[in-house]
Amino acid sequence: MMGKILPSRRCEKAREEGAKSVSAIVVQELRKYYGTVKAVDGVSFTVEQGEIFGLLGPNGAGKTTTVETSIGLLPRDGGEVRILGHDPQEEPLVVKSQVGVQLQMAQFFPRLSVLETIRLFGSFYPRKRKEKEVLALVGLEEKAHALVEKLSGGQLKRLSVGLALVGEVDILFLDEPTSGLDPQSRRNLWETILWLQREGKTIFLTTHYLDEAEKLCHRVAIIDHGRIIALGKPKDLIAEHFVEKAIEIPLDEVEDGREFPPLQSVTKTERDAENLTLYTVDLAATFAELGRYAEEQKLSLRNVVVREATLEDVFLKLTGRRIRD
Amino acid sequence: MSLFWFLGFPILFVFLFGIIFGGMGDSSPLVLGIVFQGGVLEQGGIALCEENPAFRCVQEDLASSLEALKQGKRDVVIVFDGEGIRLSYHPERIDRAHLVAGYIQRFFLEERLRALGAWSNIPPVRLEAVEVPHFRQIDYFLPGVLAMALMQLGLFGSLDFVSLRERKIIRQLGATPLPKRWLLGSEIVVRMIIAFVQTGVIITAGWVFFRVRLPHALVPLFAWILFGSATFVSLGYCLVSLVRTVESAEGIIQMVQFPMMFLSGIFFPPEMMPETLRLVMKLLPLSYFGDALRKAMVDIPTQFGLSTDFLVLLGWLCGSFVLALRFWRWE
Repeated sequence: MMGKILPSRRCEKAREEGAKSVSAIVVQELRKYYGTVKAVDGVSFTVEQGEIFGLLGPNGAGKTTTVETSIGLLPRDGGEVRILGHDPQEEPLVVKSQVGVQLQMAQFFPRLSVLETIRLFGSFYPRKRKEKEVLALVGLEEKAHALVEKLSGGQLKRLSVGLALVGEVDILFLDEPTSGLDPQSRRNLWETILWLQREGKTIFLTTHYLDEAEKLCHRVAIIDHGRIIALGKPKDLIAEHFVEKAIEIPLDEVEDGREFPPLQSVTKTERDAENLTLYTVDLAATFAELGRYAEEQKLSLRNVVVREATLEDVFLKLTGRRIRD
Repeated sequence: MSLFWFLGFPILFVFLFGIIFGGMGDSSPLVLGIVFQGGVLEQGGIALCEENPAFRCVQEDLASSLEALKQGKRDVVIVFDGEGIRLSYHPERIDRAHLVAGYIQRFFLEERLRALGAWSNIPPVRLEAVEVPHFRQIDYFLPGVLAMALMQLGLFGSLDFVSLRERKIIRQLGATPLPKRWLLGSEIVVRMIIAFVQTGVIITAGWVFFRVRLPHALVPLFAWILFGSATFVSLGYCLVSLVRTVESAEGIIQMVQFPMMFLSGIFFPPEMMPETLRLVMKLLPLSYFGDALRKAMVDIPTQFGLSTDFLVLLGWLCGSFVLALRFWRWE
């Protein structure tokens, strides 16, 4: 055995190294091109151990490519990646034995049952979680003996999250874990993710749900067109870009050919396909101005919504688009 | 469906070859058409037929006899007319005509010598067959069919994998710490088990329907079966590593298996091939596998030597395994 270290032993060694406060994930200037399309174009971030880190962005922003190059499933075209100090391209098995991965477009062997699938994938890891526990974590106990080909879309999604949990690993990569789930399953999955974090896991997830990013993630990176345009704690990001509250007015209520006038107390106006959003520090003054304007123009303004600024506003401000457009 | 290809298809092949080649190499009596058109030799002609068990004589009229000759149902037609004896034969069977002509001449010479009282002075000539192992064509072909079936099992077996890969199912495995060589290794082991079953079916079918010789030593035979099928499974995976889709995988496999089928001495013995094709044959792994199986199954002497067969196949096995991993695709 001299000189040649088996994967499991190497994994133990890496685990010890990991304990010495190495960052869980370090990505620097990551690049991935498909022909002339720059899917990921110089992305850098660091995820510390025990953190829930979110990569937030619209479809096609480069989230999935970032995940798949980070775990070494796709070769990268430039930059550096370290998972607990290991390069996924140099030591693929060491890295893969320490990460659990839920792929976005997950496909399974159709003729295996849920339990068999979990058992099969569990057998690939040096240390695995109990099958019953995995089923419970993703709420598939009742479907344990159902064939994979008979599962619904939401159940398949939960199975794919379950496969990220079959190994006793340190880091979880979840690529859009809740998209396509009904609200109840979404909330259950959030609970599971928070529970895993309390268990000591590092969680890297991608999402295009802003509430999800705000509720779950310690830090988020906002990605658009393959580049990170903002990175930080959700609260800090919002505070950095907005001290204001947001007033949303449906466009059809204000713009029937008329130009909406600039209001004195409004610091910034954003316009997208559906809403006119006014940002203000002084709600009372803005409402007074709005009231006068509505009276002059005989506008009803029945569906006006006032809310705190969110990550959505940050995204809108930085890109001029809404995240799910 | 796949059950048909793995079990039914080889049996079909055994049948086909059994029917085509099963009878060849057996000795059957010559069939002679005998036509009497008057004359003194009639008595002698009947005696000629009765005396020799190697002949089967059919007495008939000239026209129908010649017709049967053209259809290949008679080897030679012998016409006794007033003037003498005339032999008609099919141009392809001139050797048989000479044989019969020689026999007839000897027969009448003997008659005459006997009549003169000089017969006893002639020393008797005896024919004696030497004991040699007797191979029928089917004995030669069956190991070849088996080798070909195992080659196809190996090469086409990888298509299942390509289909799983194309449906992004294999990709899921790529995100786990499962080493590629284990995945490839387990595929090879599964195919070897199928190869085992397939071999049993082919040998049984060959024996039940055509009484092909049973292998005398099972252990070396099955060792060769496992070794050879592992080689071709590995080669199949090596080939599909080079292409993306099921369609192109089918193409590249056909491109490799088709020449191999015809140039590996399975359908045509090497003696029938021109010099250049014989060189090609020496490059194909199936030639060596067929050679080894012929020896292991029915004890036909090898062409290259068993150790050469082993080394060449080992080279192909290791080479294709390494290349399959080198060009591996998860999707």
